[in-house]
Amino acid sequence: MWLWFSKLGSPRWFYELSGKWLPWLYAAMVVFMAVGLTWALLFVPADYQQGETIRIMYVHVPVASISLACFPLMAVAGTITLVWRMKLADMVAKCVAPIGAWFSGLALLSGAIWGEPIWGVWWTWDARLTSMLIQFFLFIGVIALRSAIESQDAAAKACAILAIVGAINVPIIKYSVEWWNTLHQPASRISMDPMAPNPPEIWVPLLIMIAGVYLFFIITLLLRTRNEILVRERRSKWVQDLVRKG
Amino acid sequence: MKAHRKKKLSIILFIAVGLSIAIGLSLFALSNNIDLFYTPTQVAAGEVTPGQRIRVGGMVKEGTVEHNQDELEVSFITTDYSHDVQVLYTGILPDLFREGQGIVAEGMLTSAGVFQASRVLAKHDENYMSAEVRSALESAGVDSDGMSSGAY
Amino acid sequence: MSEIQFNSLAEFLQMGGYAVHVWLVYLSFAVFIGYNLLSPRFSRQQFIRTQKRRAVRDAEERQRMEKSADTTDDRQ
Repeated sequence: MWLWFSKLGSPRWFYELSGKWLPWLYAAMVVFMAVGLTWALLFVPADYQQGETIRIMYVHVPVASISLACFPLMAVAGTITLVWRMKLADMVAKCVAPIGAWFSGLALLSGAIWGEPIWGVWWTWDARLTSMLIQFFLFIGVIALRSAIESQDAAAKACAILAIVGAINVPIIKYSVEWWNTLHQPASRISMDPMAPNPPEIWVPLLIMIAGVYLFFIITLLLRTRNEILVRERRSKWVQDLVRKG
Repeated sequence: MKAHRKKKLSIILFIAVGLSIAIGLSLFALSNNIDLFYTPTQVAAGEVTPGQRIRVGGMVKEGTVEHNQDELEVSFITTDYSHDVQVLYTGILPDLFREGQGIVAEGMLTSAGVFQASRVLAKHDENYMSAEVRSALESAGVDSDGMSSGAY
Repeated sequence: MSEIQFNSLAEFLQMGGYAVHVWLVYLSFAVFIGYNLLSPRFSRQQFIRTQKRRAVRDAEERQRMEKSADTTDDRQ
């Protein structure tokens, strides 16, 4: 177990392994996205109240829910960096931040576009919307903090602490719709019954889209982390050999 | 795990827990400034001072919507099924506004106890379904109030 | 799986009057996916290009150093 752990911490080993995974991940993502998008755009029935705007849900919900995974991931990577000083953990933590900003940004944008006709307002200082905006700014804050500190070690430590602290916002976002009277509706409870609210014809394609977007998240995180490995290990022989070849 | 690593981990945990309590408390204090809404019951209980800018959320009571076509004026009663609030509004209503729909109105309570809204937002519930499923449920006699009562 | 919900392409594009909203969301989703898959590829290519250039420059530098070392040797 410890051997495996320290092996995983070796950037070179991770670079080679992730290179083997990537084609499979790409293939799986294409399949899930193709099925999910076709289903969401063509086959999902219009909602009895919201009409065709229900199709916005198949982008909004996967993106928003995966954005909530970014801070915990960054906090775990940060803890590993602080305690075990694993180099790879800090590289992952660095690469999650911009992805988290993108996911939070698109969740806010798609929510605004959805809210404009349905709620009658594209933005309001609702608890769910406000806490999501705070998360977006926290990601920007982590990115800014890292670029502000010159020493790589000090930047890694500072960002790790900010990530651990910022992760507290995640349960606030998740439960805001239950703790307070918000304009944003609470989470839907799915039903196995085809003749009930939230039937399978609505949530099965949603699950497929969530899987597709998760695969996309893993792929873009791997791509960025692999670049970070190359940059930080550029003086090592294996990276120089790789540069000569590619 | 080595002793100094253990010490480090416990220091980090201590800082994280301490900071999370601090942030949690300050967010709790801030939550008064986030746009939350009052229910008609809270309005009836006198929790709202007239003239103060607030939001009221409830269902649009069936048969109470009166339009004045010329001036875009609308008057309706919003309810949480135990108390009612009369709402006056001039302006464009969201697409989802209809009788039995959950809404949130922004504005202030006049001294006459009528809510003068400057904006009306529709609040949709967490139940998604097609029109076919909806009409099947209705004809099966499922109480539409019971289904959407969580919506306001 | 139910059947296709639209009778014609025009109806599909109109999205029941919500064309702007639905298509704007799907367009931003496409930009989001495209950017986040392509930009790491570009920065990787750029990294390899600059590292290659650096390797060539380093090699030239080394040669020049050796040459100048040779000439000083000759003078002596």
